[in-house]
Amino acid sequence: MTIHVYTSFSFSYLNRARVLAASVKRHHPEWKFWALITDLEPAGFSLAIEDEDFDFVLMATDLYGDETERWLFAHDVIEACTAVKGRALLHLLDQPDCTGAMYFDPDTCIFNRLDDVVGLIEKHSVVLTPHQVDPEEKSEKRAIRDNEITSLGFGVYNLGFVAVGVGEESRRFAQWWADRLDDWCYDRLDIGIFVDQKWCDLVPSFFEDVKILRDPGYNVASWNLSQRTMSFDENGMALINGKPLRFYHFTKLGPLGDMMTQRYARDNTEVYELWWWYRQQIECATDDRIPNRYWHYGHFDNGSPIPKPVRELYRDRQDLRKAFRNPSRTADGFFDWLVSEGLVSPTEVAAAS
Amino acid sequence: MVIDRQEAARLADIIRSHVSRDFYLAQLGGFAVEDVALHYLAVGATMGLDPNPEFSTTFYLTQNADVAQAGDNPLWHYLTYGQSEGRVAKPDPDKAAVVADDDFSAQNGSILAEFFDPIYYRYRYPESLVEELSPLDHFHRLGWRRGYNPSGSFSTLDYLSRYPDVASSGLDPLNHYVRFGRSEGRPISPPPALTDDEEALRERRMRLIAPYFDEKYYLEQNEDVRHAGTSALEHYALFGWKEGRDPAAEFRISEYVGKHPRLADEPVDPFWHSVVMGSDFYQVKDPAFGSLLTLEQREAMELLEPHFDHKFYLASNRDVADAGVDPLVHYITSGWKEGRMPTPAFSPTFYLDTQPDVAAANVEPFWHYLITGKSEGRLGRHPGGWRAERLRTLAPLETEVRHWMKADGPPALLSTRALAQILKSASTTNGRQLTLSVGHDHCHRNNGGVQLCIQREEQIAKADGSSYVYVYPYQPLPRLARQSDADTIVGIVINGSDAGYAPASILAAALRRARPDFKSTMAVVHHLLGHAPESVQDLIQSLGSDSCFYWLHDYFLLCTGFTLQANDVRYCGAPPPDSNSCRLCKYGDERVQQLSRLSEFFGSLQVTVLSPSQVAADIWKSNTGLKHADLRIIEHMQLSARKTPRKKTVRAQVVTVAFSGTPADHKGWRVFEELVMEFGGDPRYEFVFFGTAEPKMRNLEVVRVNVSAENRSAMIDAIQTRDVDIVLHWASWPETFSFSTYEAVAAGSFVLTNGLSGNVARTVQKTGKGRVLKDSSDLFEAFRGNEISKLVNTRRQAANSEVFDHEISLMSYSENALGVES
Repeated sequence: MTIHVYTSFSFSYLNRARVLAASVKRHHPEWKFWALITDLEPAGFSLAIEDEDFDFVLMATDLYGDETERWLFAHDVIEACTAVKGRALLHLLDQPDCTGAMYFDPDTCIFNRLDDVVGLIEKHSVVLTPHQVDPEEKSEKRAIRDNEITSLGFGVYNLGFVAVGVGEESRRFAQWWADRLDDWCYDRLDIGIFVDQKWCDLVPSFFEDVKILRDPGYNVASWNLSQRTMSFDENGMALINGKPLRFYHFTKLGPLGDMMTQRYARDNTEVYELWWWYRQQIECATDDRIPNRYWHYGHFDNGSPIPKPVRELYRDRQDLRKAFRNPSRTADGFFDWLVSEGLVSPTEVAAAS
Repeated sequence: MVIDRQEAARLADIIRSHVSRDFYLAQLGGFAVEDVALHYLAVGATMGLDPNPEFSTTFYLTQNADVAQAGDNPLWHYLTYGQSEGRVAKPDPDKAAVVADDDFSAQNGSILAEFFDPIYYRYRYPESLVEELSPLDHFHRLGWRRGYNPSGSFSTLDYLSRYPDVASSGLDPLNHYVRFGRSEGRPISPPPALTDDEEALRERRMRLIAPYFDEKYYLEQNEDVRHAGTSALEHYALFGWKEGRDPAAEFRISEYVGKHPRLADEPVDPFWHSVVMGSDFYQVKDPAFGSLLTLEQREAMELLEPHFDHKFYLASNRDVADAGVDPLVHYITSGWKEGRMPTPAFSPTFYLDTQPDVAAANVEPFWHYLITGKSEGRLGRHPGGWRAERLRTLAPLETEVRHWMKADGPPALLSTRALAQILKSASTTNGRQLTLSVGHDHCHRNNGGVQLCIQREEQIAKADGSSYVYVYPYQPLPRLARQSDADTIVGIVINGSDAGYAPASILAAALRRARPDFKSTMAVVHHLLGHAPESVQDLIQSLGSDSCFYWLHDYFLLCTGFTLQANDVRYCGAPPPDSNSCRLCKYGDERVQQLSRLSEFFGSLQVTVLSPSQVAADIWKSNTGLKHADLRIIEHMQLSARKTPRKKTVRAQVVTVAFSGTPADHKGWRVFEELVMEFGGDPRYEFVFFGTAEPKMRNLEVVRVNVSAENRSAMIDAIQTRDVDIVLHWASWPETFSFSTYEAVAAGSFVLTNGLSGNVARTVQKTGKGRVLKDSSDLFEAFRGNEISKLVNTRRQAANSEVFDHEISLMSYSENALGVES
């Protein structure tokens, strides 16, 4: 019987997904790895699954069928790649050999075996990892703001990871999550929603036997480094606060991520070693044929970028959704309507084409 | 007012047509400013400069407190709102209520004389000269805003802080005092005494002119100074310029004052003025450093001054100290662009690399950090210290390999026949034995412990009538050569002379041919770096034997990173190759391949491993899986204590602290550098470096010492001659031997080290000559307190009664290596 693992990404994050998949295969060759892709291949590139560490590829179209483009139009890339996670989880749980399923963000990486989690999902319906498991000191105002207050805004649990069993309660969770993400997976902090993540603040109240995994070796990231220290034991095993490092969340690869890591890792050199290694891996896993920041669903079919306000308009107006079934296709008329309403500038089209 | 560049550009467009270039530049004393509108926005208004003859910045701000308080640019405010609101742009001469500056000084002349002292002002604020204003004008328009005092009896800052109504009025406080405050009976205070500052100021000026001052010329021209034997520069700075004595043949004081008549009445050295103002003279003398300080740079200097660490900057930049250039001026004009650090806590390179927005703005990073970055939570230096800094630029091993690759093509290669002929002729004079020795670089062209060992063996072989054939890879590498490059080209040194280059297989064939001409053969591997072990195995077997020695000079048999520094920053202790530590390490992948190839090498040969210390043997033994015939310990050097009556020398209290050998991170060079930085100016210590490198640091004496087989005691002699108290050997890996430690002890010095340093710590413990400290904070604490002087007192007593004799081993020819029972 098999644990099914998945990650969700667009082709811009293929490099990260590759590094994650390789790490999963290294430590758990017996698991099945699914690449959930909400994108279409860029011109000149085609994904050869036999060369990848992915066992299966699941496209957004496999989950949403003919509705895919219309549904996706209401989402930006982050909303879209998180919204598909719900239906994908149901899909994995439906696999005949599935004894448990886990989601990992593409920018996470596994460093030691996760047998403990397998044990947990035998007894618990859902396993969640909080952003932080230890409170900051009262005097650490900046850390309170960066970490605790941010968690209050964006969600207590980090949905870069979730693990479920195959019992009734697990399925009830998966169905509820998928339902919410179908309709409400938006970056709408103003109404208390942050994509798929903030919803899960409700999980311990809604479902039985939820496990909040407080082991510091899981989901280590800049948002909890203020309370976690990395070291190696004499056998070279990476430890976090003395416990084995299970997986690290390499959030925000770039200057911003560096700044937050430096702010909280301080002189914990081992953390910088880890990042050094991750950068090298990402560089090796990067395919130059994929344009920078590429996302197929980011544009109308005439090449004009779809502005966020247009997506919001479409998601909020039922009449528009009814009138235009294929909004990203210019032949459908939505684009012309936007131009006539002055919501999209024709010069942008010219520039894009 | 902090505005971003875009906003500044927008405002500049609004005011541009109202800023008269010629009029504006005239107020700047001829300084080149590219965009006068931007300049006026950025600093000009604060300096009190006027944009055109019809608009008075100072007047507008004094008359319109709301504008001054809002921090708006006055001209922008006037054009956007003020004009239409009927506000006035400049004083109306007809209105008696407004007292013009001239009137002000005329009417209040006697009072002013009491409170404004132009001599004091110029002397105290020489930078006021730059703006080409009279001292009083300068104070009235700019000086008081910078907190300058008009005289030794009136403190500007005190007046402003005491009377908030004055501070918010925007009036020059002296003006206020003379016109109102005095009659209102407001008390004033003198500024704090300035003696120290004045001294510092004079020194700073002297430093600034020093590089351009022609001492030889000055002494030639001034016989009295020459006879008095005083410093020419000091004489000039104190008296010479006032007496009209020229500081250099090219610089005539009278000529310069002729061009700048106002200087005739100023208490200021015209030569210094020319340096500060960037005159032609100054630029001709040093074109690289001759560019003017822009106003922005001078403004930045004012801000940086309290935060800039002059001592640190000079200590870490010997060239600046040698040139006598003012360190802050150097930093502002060029230092930051070269990544030089203004304080130990701020790295311009790090800041610009990690803050792309600042880099894009092309502003001086320390200024940005102080103005805004710090409060935004940006970091001035990597909090992870040098290790984290190193990781930012660490190259993967294969990238490093590419950097090592020689650009030139393969060398001329010897044929089997030619090589066999050379070997044969060697056998005629040195035919007793043929030793094949394998190392990683040319043993005569490079310095280091391993090379010394090889030279020593070569010497012994020659003296014995034997031949020593030393082989090193033509292409040096930081790892083994790939198996696919199996026929590696090697350089061959026979009995100390270069024979040439050949593929390893050709050398093997030649050795096979020449072998019968020698009575016996032996093989010694000192290092395999850059070699293919398969080729080396072939070379060894070409001698007709499967036996060889392998020296544990380091831990290359355990890992490609032979000092066991994971990612070059952390001692790892050689954990299992599939551990997290190894998988995350730059050497991790290569290590797996290397261990498998070494296993093949050791499996095919009878290898006797020779370790220079018990520590190294223990570490290797407990971490290796390599099959080996034997493991023997042969220390490179033996020390024996000898009591001897030595003449008691009278010594000063100062403690001499040294670093000897290669200044490398894993040997603790960084820690030594930090010690010199922190304690370099401390009268209790002096610091010396012994070796072939030339580290450039202030407060560090460099003694060139080259140890070779011919002059094996060079280091001991040098340390002894200098009577060094302490040699720091702060290794971050377990040294397998450490010549420098043995040499220090033999020379009668004490060694300071940490517990991780392997045979260094072991030797200190065994001989009792020094101290093994816990960590670097203990080390610095010992230097801060009196622990070092106590330790040195012990040493000085011991040195007076006990010396160490040293004896160098016979290396692979020692009886122990050869298994001969003595």
